[in-house]
Amino acid sequence: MLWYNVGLITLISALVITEVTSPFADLWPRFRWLATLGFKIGAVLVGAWGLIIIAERTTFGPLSMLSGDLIEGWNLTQTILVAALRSMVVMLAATALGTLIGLGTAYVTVPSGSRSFLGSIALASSVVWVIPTFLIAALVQEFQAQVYGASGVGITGGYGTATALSAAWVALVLAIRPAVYVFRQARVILNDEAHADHVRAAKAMGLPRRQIYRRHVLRPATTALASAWISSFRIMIGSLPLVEFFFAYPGLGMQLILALGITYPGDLTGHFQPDLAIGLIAVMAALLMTLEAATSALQRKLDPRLHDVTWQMAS
Amino acid sequence: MIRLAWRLALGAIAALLLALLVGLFIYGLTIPTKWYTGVYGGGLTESGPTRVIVQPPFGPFSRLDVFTIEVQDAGSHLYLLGSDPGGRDLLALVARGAVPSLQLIGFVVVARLLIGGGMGFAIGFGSRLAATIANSIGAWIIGFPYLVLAIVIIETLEPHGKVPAFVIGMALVGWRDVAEVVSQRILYVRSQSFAEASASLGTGAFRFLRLHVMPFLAPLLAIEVPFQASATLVLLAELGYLQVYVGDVVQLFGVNETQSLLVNPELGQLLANTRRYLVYRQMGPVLVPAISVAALALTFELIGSVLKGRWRFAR
Repeated sequence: MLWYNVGLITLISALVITEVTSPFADLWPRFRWLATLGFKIGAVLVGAWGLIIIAERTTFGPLSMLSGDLIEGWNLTQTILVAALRSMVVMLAATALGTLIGLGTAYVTVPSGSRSFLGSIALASSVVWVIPTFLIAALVQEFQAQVYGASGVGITGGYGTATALSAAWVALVLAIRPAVYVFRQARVILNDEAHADHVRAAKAMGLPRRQIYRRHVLRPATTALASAWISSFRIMIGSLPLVEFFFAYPGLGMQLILALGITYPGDLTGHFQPDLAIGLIAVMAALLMTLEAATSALQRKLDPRLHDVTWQMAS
Repeated sequence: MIRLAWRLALGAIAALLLALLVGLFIYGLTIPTKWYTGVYGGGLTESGPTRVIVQPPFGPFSRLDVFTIEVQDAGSHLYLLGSDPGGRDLLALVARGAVPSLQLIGFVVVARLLIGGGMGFAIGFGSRLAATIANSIGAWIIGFPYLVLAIVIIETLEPHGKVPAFVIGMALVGWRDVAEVVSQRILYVRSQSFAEASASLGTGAFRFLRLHVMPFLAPLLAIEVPFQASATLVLLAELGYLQVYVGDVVQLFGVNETQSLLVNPELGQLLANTRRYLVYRQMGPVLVPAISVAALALTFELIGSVLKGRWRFAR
């Protein structure tokens, strides 16, 4: 009942914020994001509690709570916080890498103007996009094994432990699909923007190519790119459990998979722990939604039209 | 012109890939039952003047005189793509597995179209309240990591039937894209002057839908279907890797360890032992089903891309 209560308190708090601030035209636009965030996180908590409890009753029998069986003898909060910290490091690195590769490739290839070159890269991105994440992870692991076989040097960073090297491998695999997604979206967005009237005018004025693409293509496209970026982050957080489970990296994703009772015969053994599972889902949802709210705020700041529309709608 | 050439090239690649896969699968389906249901202890092969015993998993393109665990002759067989650790033909397993997998994917895509289409119509045609409710459900769903949401729903519904549980679990993960496509297209059509004229002439809702919305919506949905099929296939593989699959398992109890062999597996289930195979450096049983999934998904992606180019107005 812990998470159910936390969810209800979050929902009630969001409702109070809405009731108190919405009558005031100057206050509501400032607090609207907080109320929305509260409603979303509260709904995820209550929904996750409902789903996990139903799963527990149908699959595992009545109330087989194993809340005491947490990692390394820690309590629920410690387990969740440590796992969240480990995953946040990985996600930060993966986000930076994915954005750099995806956006960088699009930014470098779109100005080239060569359709066949762009098309070839797009086809290559389609191929990478359809490869299941665990296959990419398996190939990375095979590469690690080959390096070890050839040189005797272990480059895995350890199995089942959180080290800088193991986090780097997880981040690398985690970054690949978001990078492809960002590239595919950014290619379309930058291509559309590159054909806008103001860009043609800038070209006609003889401005340097780099300046045109930096100032007149990239800058106006930032809001759309931010939307693509948050979607790629959603993809990344979705595949986090799989990648962490593959490398046995003890972050949010692997803990969640094990807390759902999924067991890998002879290797990783999970125990169904509803409290832990709901807590981990809530942390992941909170991370995602906070980033979504921050991205919306950034978009409003970058694009004055969005800012005006939001204020008009709110008031 | 270049665009047309590129589209033709993409179409040719998709057709070639499809023909290759269909050919392989048809060949796989003709392989006698005993080569994918029996369990074999090894095979005899020529190595220069002598005959040597090979233990499974057998490599690709190996023709062997196979014998059972009880050292009884089972006959000669060509393993085109190799075997799993039980000596079962991987091509036959993949071909047999593709049939239930594609059926499942068909059900999931239809379910996504129904749910997403319904929500899209609610947002596009409905009142502001309907749109708010549909958007809120979408925002709630998106708060969950997609793999975890699918696993929890499948585990919850599994006692009521595995296939319906998978269809619902996998459909609830991806309907939002369909809803966005449908709602955006309806809102686009409704904003056009011909639509306003039609509404002012008193055209009924059903007639309006048939005459003005469907011609714009149908190509978009046709494009969305292969993309959804591709995404569903990759999701099925990822779920399989995480031990969530449709079929049943036979446990082989050995002296030191227990091996899980799959009975009438679908493609996702063929990947369930990936982790174990990788530990023993048995890449064949990992790569063959994983590459089959990726190749099928790529074929769907390419078909979607070709259709997208064909119906330029639908983009």
